[in-house]
Amino acid sequence: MTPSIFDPGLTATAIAETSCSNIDAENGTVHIRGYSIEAIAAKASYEEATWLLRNGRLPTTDAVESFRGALAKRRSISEPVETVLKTAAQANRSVMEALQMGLATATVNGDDTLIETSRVVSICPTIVTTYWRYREGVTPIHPDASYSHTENLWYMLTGMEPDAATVAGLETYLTTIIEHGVTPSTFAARIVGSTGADPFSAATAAVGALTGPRHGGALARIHTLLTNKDAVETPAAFVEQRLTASESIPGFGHSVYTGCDPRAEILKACATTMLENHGDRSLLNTATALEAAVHDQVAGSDHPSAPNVDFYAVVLLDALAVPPPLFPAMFAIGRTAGWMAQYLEQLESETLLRPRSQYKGPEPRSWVSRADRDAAIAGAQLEPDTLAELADAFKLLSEPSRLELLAILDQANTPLSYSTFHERSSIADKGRFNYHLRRLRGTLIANDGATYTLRAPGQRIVDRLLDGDITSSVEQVSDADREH
Amino acid sequence: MVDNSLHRGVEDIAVTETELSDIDGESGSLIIRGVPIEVLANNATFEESCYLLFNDRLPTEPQLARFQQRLSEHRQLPDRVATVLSQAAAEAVHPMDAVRMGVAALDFDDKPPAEQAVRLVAVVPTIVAAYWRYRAGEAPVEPRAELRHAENYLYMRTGTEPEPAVVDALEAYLIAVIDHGLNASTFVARSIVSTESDLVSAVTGAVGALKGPRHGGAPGPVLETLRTVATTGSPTATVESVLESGDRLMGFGHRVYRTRDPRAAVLASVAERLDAHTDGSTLFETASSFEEVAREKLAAHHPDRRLETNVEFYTAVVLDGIDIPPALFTPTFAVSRVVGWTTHCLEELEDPKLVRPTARYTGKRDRGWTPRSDR
Repeated sequence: MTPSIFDPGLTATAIAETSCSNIDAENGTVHIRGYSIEAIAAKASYEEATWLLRNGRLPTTDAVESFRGALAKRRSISEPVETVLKTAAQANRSVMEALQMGLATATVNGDDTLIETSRVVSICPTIVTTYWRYREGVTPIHPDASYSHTENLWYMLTGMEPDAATVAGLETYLTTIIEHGVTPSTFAARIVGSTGADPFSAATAAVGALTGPRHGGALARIHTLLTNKDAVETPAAFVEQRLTASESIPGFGHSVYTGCDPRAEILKACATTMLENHGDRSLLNTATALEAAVHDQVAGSDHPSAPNVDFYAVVLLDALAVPPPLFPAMFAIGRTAGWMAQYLEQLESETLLRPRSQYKGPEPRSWVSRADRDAAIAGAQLEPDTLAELADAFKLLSEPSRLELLAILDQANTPLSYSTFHERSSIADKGRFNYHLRRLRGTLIANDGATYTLRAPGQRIVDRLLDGDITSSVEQVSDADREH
Repeated sequence: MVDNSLHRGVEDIAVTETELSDIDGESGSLIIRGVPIEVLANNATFEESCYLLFNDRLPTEPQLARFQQRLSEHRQLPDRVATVLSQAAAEAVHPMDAVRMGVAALDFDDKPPAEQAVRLVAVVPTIVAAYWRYRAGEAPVEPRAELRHAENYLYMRTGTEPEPAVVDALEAYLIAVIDHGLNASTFVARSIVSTESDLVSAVTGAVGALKGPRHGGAPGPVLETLRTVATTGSPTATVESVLESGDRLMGFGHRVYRTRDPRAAVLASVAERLDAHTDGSTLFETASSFEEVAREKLAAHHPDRRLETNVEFYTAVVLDGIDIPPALFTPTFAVSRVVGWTTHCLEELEDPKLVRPTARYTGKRDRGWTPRSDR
């Protein structure tokens, strides 16, 4: 079958029917199984919200108690999982990497898929806190089945008896973000579920998608913003300067909502309540000041005007004294129930997610034996357009300093910071170094935040140069010239 | 709010452009970077095919030598991965779970993506082989730098150097399944890196998807059928009983191909050569007579649908013929497909496009909250 539609990113496609959540992007509302996210955040425990997601109705007292017990008895992790977490902590891996490894190393205990999805929800807090305590050099704490999901998370993280206010704040965070349509991480879980694979494989894939800087990185960027001296002291001027420079401000705008993200309001209110009587209000103050300044100043720019869920998540998690490196993991812990609900939906639909691609590669070409391959390159047809492109490319490379920069990145084999990169080069003058770097950036060299790596075309050029093909063929040509 | 059109399974939607593989389901052809799969499998080594996918050209001798060198530098299993695998073996986990654990425990996601790709391709065979040795209570066998990729995979599992005919058969299999468009595992890998995540995360996700029974690439059930037929000597009886019970006949029919899977043809001739080499001790004869009967019966049973041999059918014959245990069929598929997964990731990273579809809400709307006591 030839694909009839080309929809990169699937943004115009519904990939399934769902009864988990309904997002109204224009009016800024979220409903989970028909209940507004505001009601769930205010009234439901994490167990209750999870049960609702799974069963489509609110549980009776008996049902929620027995579900709480069912989750509580599945919190322990196996020896291999414990080992990888310890190793991850020793190797200074990030919490998301540790969570991914922990989930990848956990395996199903039996054939009941529903129970196994509960186990995924139950062990995520154990994985995260075990890793974190190893990382902090303290002994991990075993889960306590007498505590609720959220209480136990707090207990395993801190080793302290959970107090009611903290648990309430943390639970509001976890239930507010419990489910939100087909995000990239949820979609990864669905694709894995569509093959009939187990829930741990699905959750591992979901965490893999979250590990990318586009998500996990957002929380860190917001935290940096809210502790930035200029943002703290002169928020209005700070916002003005960013907007004038057409720079985006972390924590504003959402790929789904055109206006407000309703979850931002919930988390803001929760943080405000928590900090009413005690605690450090500085992040909250900065956040509200920035929100007001953006709101006042965005008219005329294309910068989004409203904060997203991550913006106030940072304020709330900080108010709860969650260590900032763990922020993305707290998100994952909350979202696990949503991943599992949609995983089950996909699994039960028995529909494999198997899209198509449009081939844009070379037309069928004939085989060239290894010995003839250099000759084949020389004999290939070069069109005038291609020649001009090639000449430009050579112009770009026709500078020993630039070749040196490519070679340094190839040798390093790991992303280099600006200062290390500069140190390793023979170009002492910063201006000249910057000039050459600028020429290569984006095409041959990638600049991701503060670090530099080779892009694939840059790597290919270095490989080609190291093969010695180019210099040896140039030498041959000059020898031939001499004979004439 | 705009309701997006519903496409369950998204099988009629192209979600990306690719330069890697072109599948023509109507005519039954598969092209890898411009090279028809049968040409690649009959002429290239595994390393050459891998280089073709990574670099969009066939390597010259020095390029190939350098690439082989890079692979051999990264075959070694890091200690912590070995520890995880040995503990997993003590719990006798499914080999695909072990591959998922082993890949997830790798520690080079700070390297440039192209480097991660080479390292993943290099180390997956070692993970599979080491786990299998731990399961058997044996110490892993270290890879040897002078052996080729396919050779090393066999050597690390058995500890003895395989015969050239066996290596050739495995190599042809590994090339035949090296890439195949956006199957579910490749799609999940691409979706994961579209968030600019790393290739280790992507391959871990892909291994999880490959584990699923609906994915394909798992020829175990075909082998069981062929063994039964070899014992009873009656392919007709087996085909008829499967069709009467309403079950699927394993090894026939493919979601994409309306013809015989082009990879089946490649593997059929590999199986035939292997059979000749082993003096007819493989299941090849059984398989080819079974194929003939099954095609005939299927055509009569499903006149509206053409069900032809898929890649799994002769995969079972080839892998069984070179003594790969059935439990390692899917992991062996992963040894090959990791090339497709990682190349797709590199292609995605050139211009990452976040995959963010929607789902159509069909549940209840606007319900009021009921206090727990009233429920």
